[in-house]
Amino acid sequence: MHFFGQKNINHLGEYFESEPFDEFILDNGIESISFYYSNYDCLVIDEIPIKFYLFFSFSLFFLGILGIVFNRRSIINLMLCVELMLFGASLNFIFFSIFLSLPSGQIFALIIITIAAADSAVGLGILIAAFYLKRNISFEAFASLKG
Amino acid sequence: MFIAVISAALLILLKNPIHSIFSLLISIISSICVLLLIKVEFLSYVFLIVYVGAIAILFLFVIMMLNIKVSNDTLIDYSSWEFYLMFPVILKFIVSMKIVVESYNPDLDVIGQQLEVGIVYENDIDIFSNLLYTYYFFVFILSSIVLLVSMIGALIITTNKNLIK
Repeated sequence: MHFFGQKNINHLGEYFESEPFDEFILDNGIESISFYYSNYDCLVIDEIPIKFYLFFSFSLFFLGILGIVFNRRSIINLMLCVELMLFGASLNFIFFSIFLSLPSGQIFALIIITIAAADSAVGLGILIAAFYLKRNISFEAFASLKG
Repeated sequence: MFIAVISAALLILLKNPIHSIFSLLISIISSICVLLLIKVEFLSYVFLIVYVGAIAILFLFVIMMLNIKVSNDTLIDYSSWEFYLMFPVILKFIVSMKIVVESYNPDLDVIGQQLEVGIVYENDIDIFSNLLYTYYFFVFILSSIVLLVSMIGALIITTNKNLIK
């Protein structure tokens, strides 16, 4: 996997010359190994282990789920929690794309925010239409829905 | 990170929806700072523009237009059975985080080394433009179609003449 415009920096911030990619897999460059095993026993991004990032994104996602489950007020809070869940999921994509240095994960994060924008637009449109019908957007107003 | 998690917890605890929108903004901005620290520059600015500039303003506009009264019932009703459902759910969260932390797979290290980990991108926008217009062009077109369909759908829903009387 070769990236466009790449620059190799070891953990001290020094630039180092890497071999062309075909030889790089065979050699498994020593600098990159020392980058990842510098102080910890596991994978790090900027010397912070990956599990903190995973905890961060998963807790955002989980708080979104909690907000959906324990929501008793209005649909706007539910949609905010959906936005929070999408944001946590895209953060997880971004962290793993940095962690494996595969840029395709960030492209999927870009798609996720496209979906989030479309989601909020259509959802708020439905909300406005329901408000014109019922003059109320609480959950009790939607109790008359058939089905 | 902690500011983001705390304000995301405030999102589901606050009563007023405007306050919860602002706590969502604080959560997103602080996690954008985390993204900037690990040098994800392009996506962090895209997140800033889309979430803070578009989605949050859309929510604020809808709330101000609909003029919703703040409901008095709190999030947590201590007498309901749903409140007691929260304890096993939080326990499940802790157990699953324990699984995430302990399920450290050393094979991922090998994958990371083979994929030339340790590279710091010089310019994110070059990578994105080179990938998005060549390998992922179908996804790019698909996302544009999604945006177009959502725009037309929102317009049709809100400008229905039968609704507005």
